[in-house]
Amino acid sequence: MKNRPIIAARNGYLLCHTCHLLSRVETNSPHPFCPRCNSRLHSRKTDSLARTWALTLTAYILYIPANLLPIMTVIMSGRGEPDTIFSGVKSLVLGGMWPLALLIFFASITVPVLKLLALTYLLLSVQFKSHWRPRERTILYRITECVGRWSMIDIFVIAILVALVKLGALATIEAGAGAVAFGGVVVITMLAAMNFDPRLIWDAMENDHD
Amino acid sequence: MTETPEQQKTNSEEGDTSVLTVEKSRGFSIVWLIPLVALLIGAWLAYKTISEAGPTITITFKNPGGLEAGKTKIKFKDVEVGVVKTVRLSDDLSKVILTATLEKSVESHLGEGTQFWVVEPRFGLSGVTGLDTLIAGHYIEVEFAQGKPKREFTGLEHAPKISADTPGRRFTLLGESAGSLSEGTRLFFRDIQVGRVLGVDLADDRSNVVIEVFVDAPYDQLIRDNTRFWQTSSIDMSLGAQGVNVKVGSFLSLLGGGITFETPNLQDPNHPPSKPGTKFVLFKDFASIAEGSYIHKIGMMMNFDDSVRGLSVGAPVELRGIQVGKVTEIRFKLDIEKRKLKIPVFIEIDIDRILPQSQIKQIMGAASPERAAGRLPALEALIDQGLRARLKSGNLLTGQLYVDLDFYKDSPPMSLVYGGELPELPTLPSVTQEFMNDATEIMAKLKKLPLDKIGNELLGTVQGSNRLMNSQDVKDTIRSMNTALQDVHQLAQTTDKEIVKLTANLDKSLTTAVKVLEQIDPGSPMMVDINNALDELASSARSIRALTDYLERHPEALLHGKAGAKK
Amino acid sequence: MPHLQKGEKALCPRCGALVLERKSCSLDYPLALALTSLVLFIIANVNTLMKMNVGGRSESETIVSGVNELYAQGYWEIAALVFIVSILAPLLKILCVFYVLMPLKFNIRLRYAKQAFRFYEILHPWAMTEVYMLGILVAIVKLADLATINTGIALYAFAALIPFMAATDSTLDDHEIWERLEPSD
Repeated sequence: MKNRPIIAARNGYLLCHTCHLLSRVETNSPHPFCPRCNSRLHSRKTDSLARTWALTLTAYILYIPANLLPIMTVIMSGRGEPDTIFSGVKSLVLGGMWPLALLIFFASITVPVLKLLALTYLLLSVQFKSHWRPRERTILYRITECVGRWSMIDIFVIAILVALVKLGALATIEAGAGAVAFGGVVVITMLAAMNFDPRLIWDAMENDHD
Repeated sequence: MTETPEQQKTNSEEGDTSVLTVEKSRGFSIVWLIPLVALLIGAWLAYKTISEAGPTITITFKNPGGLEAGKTKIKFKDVEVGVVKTVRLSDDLSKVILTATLEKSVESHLGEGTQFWVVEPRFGLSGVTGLDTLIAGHYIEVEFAQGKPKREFTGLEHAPKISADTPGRRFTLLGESAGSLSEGTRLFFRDIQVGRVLGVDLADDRSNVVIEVFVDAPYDQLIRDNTRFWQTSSIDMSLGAQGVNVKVGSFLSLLGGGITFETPNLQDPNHPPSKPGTKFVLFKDFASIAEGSYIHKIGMMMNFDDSVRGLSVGAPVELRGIQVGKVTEIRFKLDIEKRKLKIPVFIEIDIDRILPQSQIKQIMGAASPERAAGRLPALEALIDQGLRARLKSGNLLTGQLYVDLDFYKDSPPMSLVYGGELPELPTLPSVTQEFMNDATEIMAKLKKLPLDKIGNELLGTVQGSNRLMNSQDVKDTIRSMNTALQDVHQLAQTTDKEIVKLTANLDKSLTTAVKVLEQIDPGSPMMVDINNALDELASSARSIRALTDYLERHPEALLHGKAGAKK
Repeated sequence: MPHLQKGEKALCPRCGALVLERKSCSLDYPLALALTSLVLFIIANVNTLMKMNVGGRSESETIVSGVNELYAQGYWEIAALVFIVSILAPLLKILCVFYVLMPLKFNIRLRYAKQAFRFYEILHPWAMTEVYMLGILVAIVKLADLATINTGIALYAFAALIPFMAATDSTLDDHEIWERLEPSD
């Protein structure tokens, strides 16, 4: 099937994204629906580029307060010490807990940044109709999609610490606004990845082949 | 819609159905074991939780502090036995109602008299308690009691004063005033703490103060009906004729005072241990007890001519140094007719201190004509023997005076004077006065001495010895002695130097000799000669040594020669 | 579209992504595993996750208390997020599986089965149970030297929930389910 593979969309077939049913579509029906599961059929995800761009940019914007604002304040005997993501990692390193610091650093700093960068790259590569290594790019996309959720670790840690450390005057932990922003970043980057249609990578190639 | 998918569908369905059919005939799939196991575990957990759940109770408090739903614990003897579940206000907002679950193990102990109270930090006289609540938060302490099972309780506002199972007895003390006593004040017996004050209150008739004390077992057995309680204040400072007396107790007693008791004759079977609730009198201090127990007193007075400055009411009256009474009043009497000034001093003598009870009864009881006339024959007899009263300085520092009774055999005869308010004791001038008198006498005597003559004679003697000292012979003798001594000294020094030189030389010779010897063959005749020479040398050295030793010890030998021989 | 046998996968010739996979096990598996997951889920939420003891004060917490506390501190956004991701999504996933598969076993198709199944697919990336687990572990290590931590039953139930839910997902043959749901159209 390698030579001139049959592109479904070309031939008027649309694959339902949800139930994988291949159906033939009348080209002039504006909103085709899958006969089996009733979800919208589209050859490509709706406005994939536009939506992904919008979400990615929002994520970029949110990323600033996520890192500047404190995500957590540890109040020990009345003295508060707001922690941003960075200072949290720093304090872990200073405390000698290297593996933990590495984990948090990876999950809360590396992953979101890489996601943002990857999405940006993918968007740009599609925008500029790049031909560069589509298979790898698709793999990059898959990785971005999978890995995204793990950035949530920090938020969960905060949730747990906040609930546990309720020792009255001795020690309490309060969540900070930065956590909201960070949560937003994670969610939005996940949505952005979900909205990106990887088939667009190949479209560029196809169109050129034409 | 299209053919292909439908066809596919049919195919797959058929295929599936056939496959499914095959599977169905296999019956119950093994995989269902997994949820089964999970369900069993879940059910078992649920069962465990429910069966382990202890009783749920409600406690009503008026004003509890620091209670949190789900967090505040209920403890018994520092062991957690339950936790507060919900906290809410009563309908009329006057009380706080808690529900709590307790452990199953204590369910059977939730009797009628069970008490709950909130533990807060307390800084009391009995010590500091409950400090851990500052860190760990308040908790509720429970005291179980057997009885009818109850599930609804009213909490106490304060911790009960005595834990119900503390062994011991309560007693009631009646005192004049609360003084520094309060709840927690300690009760001592022979300086050991054996109990504490539970509460201090006004008596119903407001006439005195009721102090409830608790004596721990086994000390409660010490309380008999002849036990005396008295307050020991924390700082006891008295400035009396006996001097300054300061006694400081512990810091806690500083704040709360203390109560001590003593029971005489503990072995006495006539006084069994008192029942709980027995009332006793609380004396203000130890002295008061004695005072209180001195029943028989005799009042007397005395007149002093000299100044009574320093004598105060309450000053002791001592007989041969033992206190037998005290001064009760000091008055001033100006006898205009006789142009005399008198200072009557009234005293009170506790006969109990002097005579044993039995004798007192005898004397008091005996009817005699003298007694009937209001006389005191025993006292009269003593006065005939010389009993007098005089003021003495008890404390030079403060100038305190006291009344001293003593026997003065040489004093002019006096007698007890009746006729006044009280019998009057004869007095003698105070010691200071006497001292002054004696001093004057001595001065007079001194004046009479022929001091001039004595002085002159002394002078002569002194002069004479002076002359003697200055005579030429003596001087000469001394001078020669001096010189001789100097010579000896010099000689000794020279000898010293010579000897040093000599020894130095000897050393040199020895060294040379050794060098020579080293080169000589040991067996040769020269060796023998040398050996001999060395021996001689050694003995000479020894003699010289002996000489210097001797000279050291007897330098005069240079002058007089050795006893016997001359060197 | 090739018709696959059970246990075969179809890969895209172009990019190698998985297009279709037929599972080798029957529908019993996901159902049973979903049931287990449900039981574990209930256990995990009812019991305490862990107890922390510092200087005499102890705090015990359930999965829900984390959400509660965040909400109490005013950060309802994070509270909602954590709630959805750690409690709501996994629960709904399991319930959807039940809703769809249970009747299928008896060859009944309930009314909103298709929507439910679709919902299940949508929910899939949003159930972050395993991320939460890792978060718990991080929190435990972070607190370990400050206080004594006693792990509760819920923790183990939660930990067990993860593989079981993953197993539910992996034994679920969506293609077959869609096909079986089809006739109700």
